Amino acid sequence: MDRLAVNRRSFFNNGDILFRFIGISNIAIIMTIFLVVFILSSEGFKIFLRDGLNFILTSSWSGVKESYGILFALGGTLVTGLMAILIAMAISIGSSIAIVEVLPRRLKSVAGFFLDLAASVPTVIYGLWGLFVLSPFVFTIVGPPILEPIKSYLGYPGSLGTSLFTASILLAIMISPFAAAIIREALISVPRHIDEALHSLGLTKFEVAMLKLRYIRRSVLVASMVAYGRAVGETIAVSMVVGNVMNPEFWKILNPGYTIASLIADQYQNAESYYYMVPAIFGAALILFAIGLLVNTVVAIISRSGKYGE
Amino acid sequence: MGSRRLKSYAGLFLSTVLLILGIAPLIHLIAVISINGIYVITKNFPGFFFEERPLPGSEEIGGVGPYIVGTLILTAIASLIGIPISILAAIYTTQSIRSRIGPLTSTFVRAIIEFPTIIIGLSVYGVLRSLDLALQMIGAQSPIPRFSALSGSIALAIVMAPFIYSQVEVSLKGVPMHLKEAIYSLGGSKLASSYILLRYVKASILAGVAIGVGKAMGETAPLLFTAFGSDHYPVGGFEALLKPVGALTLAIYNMALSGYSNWVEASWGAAFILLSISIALFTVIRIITRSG
Repeated sequence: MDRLAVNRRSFFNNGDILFRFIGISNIAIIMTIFLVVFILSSEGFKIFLRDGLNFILTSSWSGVKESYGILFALGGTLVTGLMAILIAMAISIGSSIAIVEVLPRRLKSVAGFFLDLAASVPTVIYGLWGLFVLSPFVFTIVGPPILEPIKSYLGYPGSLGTSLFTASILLAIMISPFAAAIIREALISVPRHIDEALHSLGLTKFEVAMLKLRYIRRSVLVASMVAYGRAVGETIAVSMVVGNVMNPEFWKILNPGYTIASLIADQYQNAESYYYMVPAIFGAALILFAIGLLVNTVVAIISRSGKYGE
Repeated sequence: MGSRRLKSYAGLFLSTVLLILGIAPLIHLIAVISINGIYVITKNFPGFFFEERPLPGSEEIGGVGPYIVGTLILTAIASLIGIPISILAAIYTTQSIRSRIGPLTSTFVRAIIEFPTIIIGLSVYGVLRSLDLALQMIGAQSPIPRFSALSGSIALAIVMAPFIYSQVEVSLKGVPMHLKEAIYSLGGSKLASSYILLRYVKASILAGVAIGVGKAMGETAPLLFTAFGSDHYPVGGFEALLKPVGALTLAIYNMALSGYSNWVEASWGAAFILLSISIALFTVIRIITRSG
């Protein structure tokens, strides 16, 4: 008992030296992230050394010919991301206004619960639902009679209704909870005096909501960027509904296609069979990384230059 | 006047419709996964939880036992690596104010936290492959094979750590100043004061850990290039950690796309198990953060 007390005292007094050792965990984290970036760049660089910009500007993916160009996947990524973000912003802005301004108090927390739960469901489950529920639904609701005439402009879905369009819808469903959480948080934390000032002008509820939305426009922008980053990086769910077909005409959104992330996921099993496929996959990941870094930097810049206001 | 009111009602109505559009898919998803999943599990009731995958195209449903075990192994080892490191690092960042390492850690973590997780799996694969190739030249063998339970766990630990780190950092920074001053004025070492602070915010740290573990368990993409997947139980004690291992998420992905009806059915059952665990974890996190 006595010795324990002494030990405790020495822990209490000499912990400063021990404390320095905790810093090792920080160094471990920094080193790990550094290593991630390093390996991605060094491996991905090999394909750029061989093909240069052709790796980004052409569409081909063949292990047998050792020919790799990911324009088709890059295009698929940008197109699905853009469509998903447009739908997701409408849903997340609308639902945030509904939760903050319309719903009675008790329903507010229920709706919030479901939106947050939606953000925590594993993506592979969205993928399963997307493949067997959403894709056939999209296919039947658009329907062959409508699809046939526009086939030459927008393409035609694969079996089960997989397409870039289907992937965009699924992405929109998956990312809107994240955007909604940010927008809702910002709407709730609009200062009270501003809220009261708006109401005292004799505006309608919706006009107040619109003005508040203007007030928090920075947060709306951040929300859209965060959601876009998610959409671009989402791998498994997209891979399950996008069709995984090389589609050089990625603007024909009803065709099945690829995104960069789904290409990587789809090719993992035969990557090591070919000499340049591993570098090509790393090169693709490097581009994904660059897009992600760009998005994160923009978010950081927007958030740093003041949360709200001019 | 009337038209402004009408516009307001229309706008608010539209918002509510959009809210319903936002939530309806989730409710439909939960319903479909539950109905199909429970139906499949009852077809082969206790067996579904421990049997192995049947032959493709046969009448049998089989089970997902190896994948459950794989998910547990991967998540457990990832937690063993990821939780202590991220909590300790967050303590160091918040408590050593003059250190430059702290802010640097936060910057790096913030840069990587929302990164596509497939990149993390790919990087772990890349590092281990380079290590393997380098060691092969001198005739040695890599201690961690690139397709193994261990490499999958490392990838999941890297996915999980940023979430725990940020949560602990935020909660430690959020401790009221007067309380911090009171603790420092006890005259104890930094380690002792951190320990007392940690106890003060333990609810939110628990939530952070649960968020991180939940993320890791639901991940598929980082496992593709690391854990790789296997359809059999891991055998041979610790040796098994050096071999590829299956996971529920990987199994759902592979079986759903396989095209064999009995494997697709099994993927519904596996999805139901995974969804139940993640909803349970989410509810626990909610309760902790609401009461803390």
